[in-house]
Amino acid sequence: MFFVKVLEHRIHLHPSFFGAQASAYILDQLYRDREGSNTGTMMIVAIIDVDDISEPKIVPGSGYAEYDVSFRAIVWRPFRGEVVDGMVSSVVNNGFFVDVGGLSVFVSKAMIPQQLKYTVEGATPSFTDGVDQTVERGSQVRLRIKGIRGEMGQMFAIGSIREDYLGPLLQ
Amino acid sequence: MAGPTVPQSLSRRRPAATGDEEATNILKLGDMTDTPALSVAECKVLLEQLANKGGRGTSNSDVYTKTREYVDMFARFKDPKTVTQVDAISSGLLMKGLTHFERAQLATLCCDSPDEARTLIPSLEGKLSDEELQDVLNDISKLRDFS
Repeated sequence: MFFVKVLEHRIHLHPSFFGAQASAYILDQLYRDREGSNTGTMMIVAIIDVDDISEPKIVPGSGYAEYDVSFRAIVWRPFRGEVVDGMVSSVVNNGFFVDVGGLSVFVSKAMIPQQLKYTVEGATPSFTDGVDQTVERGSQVRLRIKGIRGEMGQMFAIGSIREDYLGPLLQ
Repeated sequence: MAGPTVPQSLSRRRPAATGDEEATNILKLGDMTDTPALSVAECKVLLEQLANKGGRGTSNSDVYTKTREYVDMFARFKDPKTVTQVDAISSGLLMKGLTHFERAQLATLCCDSPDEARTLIPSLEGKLSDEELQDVLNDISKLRDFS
């Protein structure tokens, strides 16, 4: 789920940059550090604008100036139990991977309804019931996120399509 | 036992997992509670505006590129004016007790029936009557872009 959140970031500026360009440098540093980052629980997609740059405080002992920048950003945070749409990126015999934005969700065989069976046609593996529902690379699928795990910089998730209204979307 | 005693833990403990957030029958959104949420179409419009505003140019990061592709593919409403209209329709619901999360989910998932909406968004149970929900869903479907 996308949110517009106000976040804070602490930036240190080396004394060689104290000058007229300091605020430009701070903004550059902010964008470089935070835009596109993945904190393990959420992804910061884009910074909308900067609310406030605090007065700098010199850090005792090192001479660096410390700024607290408050900014608004579009963040993406998945929740356990949330229903999302995604595109299938690969199919293996015990499930398939779905890309939901920057997150890769794995749907295992246990979370796939019985009717969808793993079949390989030529070189394309897929889960299909032979009639109208097929999940293969490039298909759009609606799934419910069952669990999320976050490490620094990465998120892993598992999902399920074993419920009403979930599964491949009609294109 | 011979030898020096080893201290309990040599590495800095990982910050406690905030861990119990969920979006099932009850919404426990942690620090995202009360944060305005965006549906996929709204996010697409906002990202496009930010990119066009120029100035800084767009990020080259993986997260940004994948997210842009994702919203382009899955936005149910392509036109910014339509997105504003959907926003107006679904915002009326915020007065009736829905949270930001549920409102954005309704605008993203575009369900056909109240049953589907309640199954996909379990926390909606008990918040709106069938007719109210059906009305909102109908209004949103009328604006859907099938191109």
